[in-house]
Amino acid sequence: MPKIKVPRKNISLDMTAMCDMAFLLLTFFILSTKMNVVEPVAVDIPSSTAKKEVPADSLMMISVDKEGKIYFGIDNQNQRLKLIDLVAQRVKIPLTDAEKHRFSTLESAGIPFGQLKMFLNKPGDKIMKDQPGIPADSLKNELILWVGLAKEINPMLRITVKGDRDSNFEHTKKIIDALQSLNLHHLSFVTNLETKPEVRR
Amino acid sequence: MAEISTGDSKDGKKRSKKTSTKVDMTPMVDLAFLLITFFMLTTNLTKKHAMAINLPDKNDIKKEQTVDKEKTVTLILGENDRIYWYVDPKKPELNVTNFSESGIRDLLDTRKKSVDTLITIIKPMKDSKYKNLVDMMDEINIADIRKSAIVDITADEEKLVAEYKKTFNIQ
Repeated sequence: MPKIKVPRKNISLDMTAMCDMAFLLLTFFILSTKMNVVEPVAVDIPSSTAKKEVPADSLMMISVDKEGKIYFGIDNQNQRLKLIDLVAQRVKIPLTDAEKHRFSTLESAGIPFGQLKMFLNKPGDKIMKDQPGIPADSLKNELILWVGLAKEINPMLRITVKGDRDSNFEHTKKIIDALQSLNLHHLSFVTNLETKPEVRR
Repeated sequence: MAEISTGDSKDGKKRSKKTSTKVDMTPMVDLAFLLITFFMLTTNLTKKHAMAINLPDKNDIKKEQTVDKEKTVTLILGENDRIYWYVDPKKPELNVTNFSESGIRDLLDTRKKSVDTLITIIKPMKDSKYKNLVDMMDEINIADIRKSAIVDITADEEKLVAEYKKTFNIQ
């Protein structure tokens, strides 16, 4: 029998097309990605069927973590700078310009007024660790002041509450009470999307 | 792979070396996919959604509201995802249900069918979870009930729940 010669094919492929595709996808992901904001705590939010998206601007975010620590932040960096300016003035904390600037880089913070100066002087990432949360008890309520002053700077701020699934209701209650005492009656809870079940007839 | 033609020919003629213009793309593809993987993992495509809540005015709460008692259902959010509920505030008879489809959803559905303008009153207990509150608001949205309020729990109701737990031996 004659031997059948299998023609040797060059196994090297033309990678150009693949490369094109890879970079196309890469471009898509780079452009569509929104970098996760660095927050002092990870909050595991509950899900609901609410359809409305969280507005992109003029946002005031009050977060509650698992242990019930309360964090406060507004989305605009310039406004954060104004806010800390106003807070330093009203509460009479002697903050330097550098410290104020440092505060304005924080997306959200849970630092009581008493420890503000100490925290703002912590180097690097250490500022994110072990923040005690903003006191919101009836005896010492700093949350009311934060929300009130932020509203003074930008009255258009929309209030969103981002609570951890497993945080106790009493902490949410504190926030609700603080908002009510400021005569603010609209807020929204941040949730993940869940598909709405079929309406049964 | 990149090929480099050697330029040697059998007849010994010297030819000018032709370098192939083909470039090996493999490392570039590797790199591109590495970056894609990185961006895919770091990106969060899921957008956050907002559930709007309207709070009552503080001055309104102090006034004793006159609602048709028949039209309300009071839902007390307890621990371990339990819901204690009653209809008549004058002589509350507690019942217990949960967040499953046959639980709260059926309850709200049947109540809504018998009363057209149902008002739900949510009373979270101190140790109920935030998740339960959101779930509850969500169930109310699903049942398409327009009127609901988040109200503080009273001492009487806490007592009722404690009694209920005792008689039915619920942990």
